Amino acid sequence: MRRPVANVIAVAAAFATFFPIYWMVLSALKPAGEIQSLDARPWTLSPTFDHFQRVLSGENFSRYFVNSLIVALSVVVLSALVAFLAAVAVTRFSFRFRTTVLLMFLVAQMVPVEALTIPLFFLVRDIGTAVPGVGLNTLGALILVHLAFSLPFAIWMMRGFVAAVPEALEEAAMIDGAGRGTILWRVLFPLVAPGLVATSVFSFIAAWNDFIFARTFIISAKDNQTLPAALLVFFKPDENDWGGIMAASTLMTIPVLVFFIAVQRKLVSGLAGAVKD
Amino acid sequence: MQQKPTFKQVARRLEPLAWIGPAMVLIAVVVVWPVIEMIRSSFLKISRFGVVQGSNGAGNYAKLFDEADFGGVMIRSVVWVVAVVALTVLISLGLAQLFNQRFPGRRVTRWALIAPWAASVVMTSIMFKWMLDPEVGLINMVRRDLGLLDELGGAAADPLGAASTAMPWLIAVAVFVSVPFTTYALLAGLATIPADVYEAAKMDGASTWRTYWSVTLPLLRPALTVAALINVMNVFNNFPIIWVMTHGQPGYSTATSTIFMYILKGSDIGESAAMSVVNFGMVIVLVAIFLKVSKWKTEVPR
Repeated sequence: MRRPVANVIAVAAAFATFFPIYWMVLSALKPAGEIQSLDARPWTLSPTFDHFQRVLSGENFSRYFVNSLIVALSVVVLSALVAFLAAVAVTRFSFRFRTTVLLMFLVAQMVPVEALTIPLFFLVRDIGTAVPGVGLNTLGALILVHLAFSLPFAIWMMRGFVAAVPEALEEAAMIDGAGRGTILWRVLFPLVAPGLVATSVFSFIAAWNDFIFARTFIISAKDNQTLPAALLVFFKPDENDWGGIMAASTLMTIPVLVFFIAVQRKLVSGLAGAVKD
Repeated sequence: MQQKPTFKQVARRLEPLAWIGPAMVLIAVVVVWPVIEMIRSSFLKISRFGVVQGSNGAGNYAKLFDEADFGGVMIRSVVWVVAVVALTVLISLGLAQLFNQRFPGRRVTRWALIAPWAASVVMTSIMFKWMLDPEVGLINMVRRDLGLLDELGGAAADPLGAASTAMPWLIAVAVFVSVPFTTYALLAGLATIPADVYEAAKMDGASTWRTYWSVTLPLLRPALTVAALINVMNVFNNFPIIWVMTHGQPGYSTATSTIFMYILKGSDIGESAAMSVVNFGMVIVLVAIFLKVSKWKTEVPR
């Protein structure tokens, strides 16, 4: 049949989608002279780690990296827990306002965060006076805000997974004498794990790739900056340091890419639970 | 047990509250409260330096609607979201079909497909802006080598400098970053279709196209609806692509409502808040229209 043609198109599409990442890594490895060349080549014969060295040696890069990791992983874990509990509540109990609550979650998903930076700034400042750990200039503030914004989507996704688990399973566990806690964590939780992987992917990239919250809440504490700050150093009004930008971007992107590829299989089965309704 | 129900009943009634409570509190405080604050400030007179100078009634809205560019911005926002989502869905339907087949190298090509999703949208936009740079842009060099461009550096080598070419490029980049998620969601949808329906279609002698149209697409609809819905919300509110690549320029010719709101923030916070409210209202209307058109089940399945 036309199978081979279809496969060639698939491979070509994969090339196209991967090209910017390839170009980013390539540019990070090119010597400065080649980056500025007017005859760019899709390869380099003299790869150099100069740009990476410049990125890693200057401006607390490792510190920012660890900060980003702390924020993203905290958001992933907390969001999974809170969303799981909420998803159980909206699927396993019928209570008044259930539909209202679900609609509220959906509408909350539609808010453009750029419109909310000013009220959020004041909110975080005020919370900070009561609870210092989540005030301005703290990683806690980033965790709190990312967590809240990741929840609506996470709950919507988890809902499908919890609903897919037959209630008979829980009833059987209950007859065997299991308490609510046991049923929740030993029966339900493992069964919805693929869904948690899929939601984690979303909350992870949102937190990891975020520029806007980092620039809104971390205003003066240099030690609490996250990776975007390290990237912005290389943008200069006169001439951008493309080698540095590309090396920093590479270091920022590769961990996410590895994470994605690692969970890729689970991602498909994970999304499947969310999209069948 | 039945004679003393009160405490247990109350506890049972409050139980879902305990489970959903943390999520509700977080969303209410960090998401809903700032939204209310945004709506409130859209009726306030606020100085350039953020000092509230009292109520402004509907003045901010009146000023916003009087802006010469307001109409264009709103139309452009709708064109932007419809064009990006439609193209994304069409391309993703095709790609999902291709990547659902087994072929040598499928695993690696699927990894490659994930890349734009994993990369930050800001970085992808910076990448494309760099590749479209009139002096050193890779895409312009390729155009020059193919004979489509006379020389680097001129106006012809600056696709982002003119409204007629900037918008298509912005749409292309938005499609580029939206396709991976959409394709994966559709692949997930395809995975839920049992193989025997295809066998049945084959036994009935249905052609490939006929099978796709009458079997695959209808069964794919839930996945398609969810994926498109998420895209509508994300694309409408998307800020980094346009901001990084054109700042809404030249003039306001590439500004959508989100960009316009951000630009207004620099001159009039109250008017900017009014734009945010209009923007928010518009997403809700668009989503409602979308759900109506796609005949999404309005009841929430248990």
